[in-house]
Amino acid sequence: MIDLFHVSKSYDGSTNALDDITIKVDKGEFLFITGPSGAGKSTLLKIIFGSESPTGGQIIIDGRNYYRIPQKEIPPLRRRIGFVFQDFKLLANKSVYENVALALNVMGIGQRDVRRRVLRILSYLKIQHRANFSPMSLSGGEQQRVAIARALVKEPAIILADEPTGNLDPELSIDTIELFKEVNNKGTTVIIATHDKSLIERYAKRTAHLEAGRFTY
Amino acid sequence: MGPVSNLIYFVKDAFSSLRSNTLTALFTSVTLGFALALFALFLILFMNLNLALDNLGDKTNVVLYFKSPTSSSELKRLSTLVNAVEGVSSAEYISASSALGELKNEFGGQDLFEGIDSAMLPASFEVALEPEYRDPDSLADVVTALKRLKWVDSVEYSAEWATRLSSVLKFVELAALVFGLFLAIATLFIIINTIRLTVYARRDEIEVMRLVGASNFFIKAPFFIEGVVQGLCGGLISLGLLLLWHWVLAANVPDYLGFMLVMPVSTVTLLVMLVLVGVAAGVAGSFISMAKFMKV
Repeated sequence: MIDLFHVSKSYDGSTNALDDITIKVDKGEFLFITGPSGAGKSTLLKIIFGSESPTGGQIIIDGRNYYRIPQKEIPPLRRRIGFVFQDFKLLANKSVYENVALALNVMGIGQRDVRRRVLRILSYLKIQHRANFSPMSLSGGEQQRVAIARALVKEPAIILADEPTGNLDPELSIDTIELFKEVNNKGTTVIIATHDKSLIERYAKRTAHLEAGRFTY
Repeated sequence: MGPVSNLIYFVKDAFSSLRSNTLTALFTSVTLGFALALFALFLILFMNLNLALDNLGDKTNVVLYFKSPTSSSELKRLSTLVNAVEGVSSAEYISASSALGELKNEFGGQDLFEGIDSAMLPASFEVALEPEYRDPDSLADVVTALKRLKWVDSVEYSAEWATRLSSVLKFVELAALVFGLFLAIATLFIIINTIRLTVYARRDEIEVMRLVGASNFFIKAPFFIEGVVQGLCGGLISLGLLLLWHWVLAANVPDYLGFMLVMPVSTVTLLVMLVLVGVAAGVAGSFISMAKFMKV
């Protein structure tokens, strides 16, 4: 599903944020990418997502080589990937419903379908009663759920999550990972970047450890 | 979504954004309105001044005196010849008696001219020139051609007046060009910068749309519609300002400056022009400002 060959990324030409990364993630796999802050976890996710270009190596997603993705192919790629951002990236001037619906609207889905799918995912994540609220009036945990709802609503083949439990208390953190597990059980490939060792120990899932831009496993 | 439901979605989205950013949208439209009104005002004043100066050119008259007495058939023939000269737009015959009448009119008193016989004044042709023949060089050519005509005694014209008018016209045109250019650039920058701020305020929205996989078209379409709406409002505001300017000044303008207030085009044409420029500026401003945020 996702193949990275000798991928490297350098911002200033000398220090490597990522250095010779090679990894294969199969369809339906659940992968934790761990490592301390600044190890390159976020950069790696952004490269898979197409919001950063690698300075070297090859990226193959679903058999397509995405090294230096042409600009016009980025939107279709992103519609197949659900990304949960560490800072949620929710729009304050739109309601919870509108934030989640945005992911379907950009795909050109009819409004009746959008409504049905958004309400279903909000109800699945137990935040349907917040549909008309601004995300800013919600608690951190609820905002996290809205961000996850937006990533899941389009039923993507791949879910990428950058420190999804970074702002949550331990109980909510477990709930969140359980949610990703459920999605994974339905066949979605899930890659989670986290520095939370307790979570990794709790779930016996495949883990790749990054240290200063290199995999140490 | 089909094209129609897409359009409905974009229009709804644009209006919902305008509603949630009412104040910003209002400021943008008002700024656009003032900037457009300023530029339109300059154009109106310049066009009127230019027209007035051109009309002054009508005074570049050439007076042609001929050997009298001349028979009426000869006069007719002469009139045809004068009109045929290149650069002549019209030639009016002024008989000796009407020349006296004109003189009396000009000086207002009948007494002054008591006892003066009209035969003492020469008959003449007042020759008006085409605008493009009013510069000193062409004028001299026309006069030479007129002098060559049969029966013509002398040709009088003011070379100094022609030279001075020509230099004034050139100066006004150059000054207006420079001023207009400065004003156009300033207006453009004000418009772009104002819209840039509104787009900048919504850079998060553009970023999130990019991140959830929106195509460039999908992101730009609502901004395009917003640009059109704001441009439309800006155009209407500028028309209102111009009409207000006209109304306030019309009541107080001295007669000799009245020509400056003439609207060179009809209100409808002015409205269409202002709205078109406003919409073009609104859309161009949006697109230029967005380019920076489209690379997430």
